[in-house]
Amino acid sequence: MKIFLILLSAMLVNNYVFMRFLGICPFLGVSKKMDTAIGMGFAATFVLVMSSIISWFIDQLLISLGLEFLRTIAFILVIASFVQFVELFLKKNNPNLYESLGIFLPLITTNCIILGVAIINSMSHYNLLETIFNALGAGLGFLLALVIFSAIRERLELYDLPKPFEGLPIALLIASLLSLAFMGFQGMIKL
Amino acid sequence: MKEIMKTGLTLMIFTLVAGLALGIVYQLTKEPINSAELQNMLKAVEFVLTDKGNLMVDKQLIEKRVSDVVKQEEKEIFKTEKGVVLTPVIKFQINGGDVYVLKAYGIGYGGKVITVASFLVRNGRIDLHAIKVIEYSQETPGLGAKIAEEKSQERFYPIPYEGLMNGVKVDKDAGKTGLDPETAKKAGIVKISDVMTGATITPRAVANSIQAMFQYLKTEVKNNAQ
Amino acid sequence: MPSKSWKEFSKGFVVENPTFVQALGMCPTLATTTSAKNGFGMGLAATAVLVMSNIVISLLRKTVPEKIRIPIFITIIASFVTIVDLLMHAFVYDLWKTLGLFIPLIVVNCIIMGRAEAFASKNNVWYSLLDGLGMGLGFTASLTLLGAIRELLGSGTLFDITIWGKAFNVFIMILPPGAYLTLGLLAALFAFIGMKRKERGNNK
Repeated sequence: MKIFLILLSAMLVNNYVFMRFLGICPFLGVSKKMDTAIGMGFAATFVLVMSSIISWFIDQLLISLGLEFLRTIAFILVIASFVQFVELFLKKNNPNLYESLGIFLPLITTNCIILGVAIINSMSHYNLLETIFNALGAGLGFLLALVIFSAIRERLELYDLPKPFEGLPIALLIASLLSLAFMGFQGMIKL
Repeated sequence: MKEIMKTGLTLMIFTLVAGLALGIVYQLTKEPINSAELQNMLKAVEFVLTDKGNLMVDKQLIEKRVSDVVKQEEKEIFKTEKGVVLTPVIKFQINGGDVYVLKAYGIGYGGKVITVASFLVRNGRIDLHAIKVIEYSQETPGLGAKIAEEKSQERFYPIPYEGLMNGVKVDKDAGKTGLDPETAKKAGIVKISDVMTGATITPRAVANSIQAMFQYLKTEVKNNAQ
Repeated sequence: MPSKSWKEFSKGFVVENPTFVQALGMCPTLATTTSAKNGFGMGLAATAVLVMSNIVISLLRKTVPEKIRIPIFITIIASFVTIVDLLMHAFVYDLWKTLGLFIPLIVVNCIIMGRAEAFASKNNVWYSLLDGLGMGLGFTASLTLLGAIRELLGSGTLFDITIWGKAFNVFIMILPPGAYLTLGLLAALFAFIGMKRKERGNNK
């Protein structure tokens, strides 16, 4: 039950994009088209879950050695090498998938949602199962945010905006309204 | 092959140097970090032991007791469904009874919300004297993190024995948002909806922590009496 | 005629402002600006990392093999972030608590990696230092401005000093939607100023 709550909380109530401000750069960057948004969302979810699992084991190792202060550097190196590995693997074995997801992979290393979730897992002392579900919730929440956002932005292309608002400013204002909407989920879950 | 070896070696040297440098900085900052943690705990303990502007217990004694216990490893000593009481348990004798300083956490938005609280134990009664929330860094800024403000925390104390027996709840959960803060406390209700609008999870975590500490003390005092 | 040193230093404030013009490092920008003080603290922490990593990367720019420069840059940046984290934990405990998660996240702040790639790996130490300092302080200025606006409207205070207090509070400003709203409006303002400048330039 708690696992399910963690999943929902990470996805909706505590949406990492709207409530915790993680993963904003790709959120603003690749949300102009629905297709790319979906691709990015799935790629990020996959990397999130996998790297969270690996980070969890690394974290246990560091704690048992009393080297917690190396956490940041260890996590980021693990994430970077994992992303690199996935990229190479896809390129060799599944060129089709690589075509559609590959371009997002380098962007993912510097997506702070990945490192952020790994650190939150470690700070909250989640066990392995909770870690997986928190990462999954974060990823799906990110996907959801991207899809909603890109759908709005696609329509926005058709409208005549005041010049200074084009691009980033209007995107941020939309994000503000969406974030307001997501606040409606507050208090829905009692952990 | 040679190329790969060389690349790997370069990378390894860089990581080693970085790790070494970090190790040195870690050693250098270890003492100051410990003392910062100690000061933080000390500040909280002194705060909850203040009664009408005066410390209830001698300042030197507090410092000694806190610096003794802060070095020990933190352990979970008592669990309810929603709150966990942690070590240390510090007990001081005062006029007419004892005062316990306890530490406990409840789960907030992004993790633990840790509260230090003082309870007065006199004539079989246990009253909550004061609390200080010391860890809330994972709570939503501007929402749950408002727990940091004094005026939010003041709503949690003092709660008399009868209120604690009722079970400490935030006003929304008790279904009584209309009460004024002082009347609410007597019934164990924390009126928070006006000072922390929209935030329920964080204050709930604090209320649960208080409840866990009270449950722990009840058994503890009973055991001591026998 | 302004010197090159001055140009490298000052470009971070308006012309290439990392926040409003380049839209880099958005996560800490939005998350930590609930008050002017927090924004200022976050900005300075990032500046410290940026300056140090720019210096070291510039020093090593000839020894680092092209192929593995990214992992090496990441290692260097992560080390400095950890150092800043430890120092803040030791000496500015309260601020460290408030910024929490966002200190380790400086590692993935695009500004730092961006400057390492685009500037420090191609320029000498002096210019890299100035570039880091300028960009960092530009970032700090934006964060402080954003924090100040949100704090003033949301809580009626400025750097914890009461201005009008409870008399006028737009509560939403310190909540997440307020962060997006303020940043969006400021970005529009910057775009507007940029357009006016261009127009004036064309008329001359």
